[in-house]
Amino acid sequence: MRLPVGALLLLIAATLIAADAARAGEHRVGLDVAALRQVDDGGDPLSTESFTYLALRPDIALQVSDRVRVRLNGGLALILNDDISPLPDTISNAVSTSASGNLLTLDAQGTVEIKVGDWTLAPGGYYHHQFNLNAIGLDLGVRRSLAGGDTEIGAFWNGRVERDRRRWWNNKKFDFRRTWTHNLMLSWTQNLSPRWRSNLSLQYTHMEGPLAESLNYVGRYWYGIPNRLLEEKLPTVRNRYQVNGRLRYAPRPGWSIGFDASYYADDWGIRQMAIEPSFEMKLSRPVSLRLWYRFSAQHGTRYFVLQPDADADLQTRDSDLGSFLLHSPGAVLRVKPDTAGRSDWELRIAIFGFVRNDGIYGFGSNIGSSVDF
Amino acid sequence: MSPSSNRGRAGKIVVSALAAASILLSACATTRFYEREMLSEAAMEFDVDGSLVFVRHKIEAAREGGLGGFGASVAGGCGCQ
Repeated sequence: MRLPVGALLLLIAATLIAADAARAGEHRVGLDVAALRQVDDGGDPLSTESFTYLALRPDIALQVSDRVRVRLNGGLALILNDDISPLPDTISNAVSTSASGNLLTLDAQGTVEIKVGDWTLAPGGYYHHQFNLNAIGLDLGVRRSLAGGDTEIGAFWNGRVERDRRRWWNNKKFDFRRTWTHNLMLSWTQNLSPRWRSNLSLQYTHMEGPLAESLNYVGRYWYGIPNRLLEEKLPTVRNRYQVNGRLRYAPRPGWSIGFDASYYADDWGIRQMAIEPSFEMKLSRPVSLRLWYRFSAQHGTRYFVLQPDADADLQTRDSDLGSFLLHSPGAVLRVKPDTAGRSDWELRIAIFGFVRNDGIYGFGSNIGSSVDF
Repeated sequence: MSPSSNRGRAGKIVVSALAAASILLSACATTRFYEREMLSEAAMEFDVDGSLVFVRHKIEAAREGGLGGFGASVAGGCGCQ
């Protein structure tokens, strides 16, 4: 995997200069570089699901006044899809699509955090752009600190509208079509004792619009031989529910053990549970290491078809919507040198991977640096 | 039931839940301020860092049928993943 080395050097140099120049304070500047390689060793035999993802994410937080903090995030990502494997000759309607396999995406997000007593209000905005698709959104968060700081409750809403006119795999083209997404989350964080902390959150997401993917197709089979490609067809509404529980314990200063769990269900018939134990240790005064292992088990949507022999009203062969088990370990090393109180400079190096029992796996890295001043 | 009445009902549920939680949780003081040294350390944060959470959440939301993460907000609609 090749990381943009120039960007990384620039990032380290910029944060070192900022660290040297700054006084310890309440502003923050950071930059992260991420890379992911997904390999398709299974999934749908008629689709190539291998790709490389590269991303650059700057992050700025400014303390405008005692009560107001402004956060700005950006994101520039490049998705390089592998060459599409030739389809079998038995397929009668294989087309050479002019839709590009590679994709450049741009994200921008801004949030203003306003503190009023024990309350924090956080309105924000969101923008996403890629070729023939863009999305705008609004965010609103309300948090309240209670019980002298031992409890924090919050409610968060995100609204998104996406405009999409990407060309389909069969060269079909539409005018801009809109997808609406509303996400509501309620969260409760509680200190249980001087060593224990817990969090419980509930999420509801409502999506409405054309939810079938433009590059997804379904192979029709006749006695085990694919003979035609069909369009993916999915409902235009999706209601999604997730409950999350998190627990963290500090056995000694600088060390912690965590356990996270979630259960997800939606009205397409997908059921999924995930658990994630994690462990953080202090290797030396400026260096700490966190390890995690995520396991999830998914029961796929009722619209998932493996080798259909007819064109159904609703159908998908998207392996992400199918049934599988997933194992995903990772580690992040954090280095925070003592800069004599002048600033807080941090370097983070993370590696992670995932493997699914349907033959799809991936591995990646995130390297980031930030300075508080 | 119309979408607008659904939204109105959802809004009332959120406000009621927040009000009820505020009352119930006001008695949930479990530590004194001088006992929070370990709780305030970076090791006790549920998530290591915002950008790493963003990347992990994006991968999980795209590679799994669920929402990804353990309480992160949505990044966008389908195409934004």
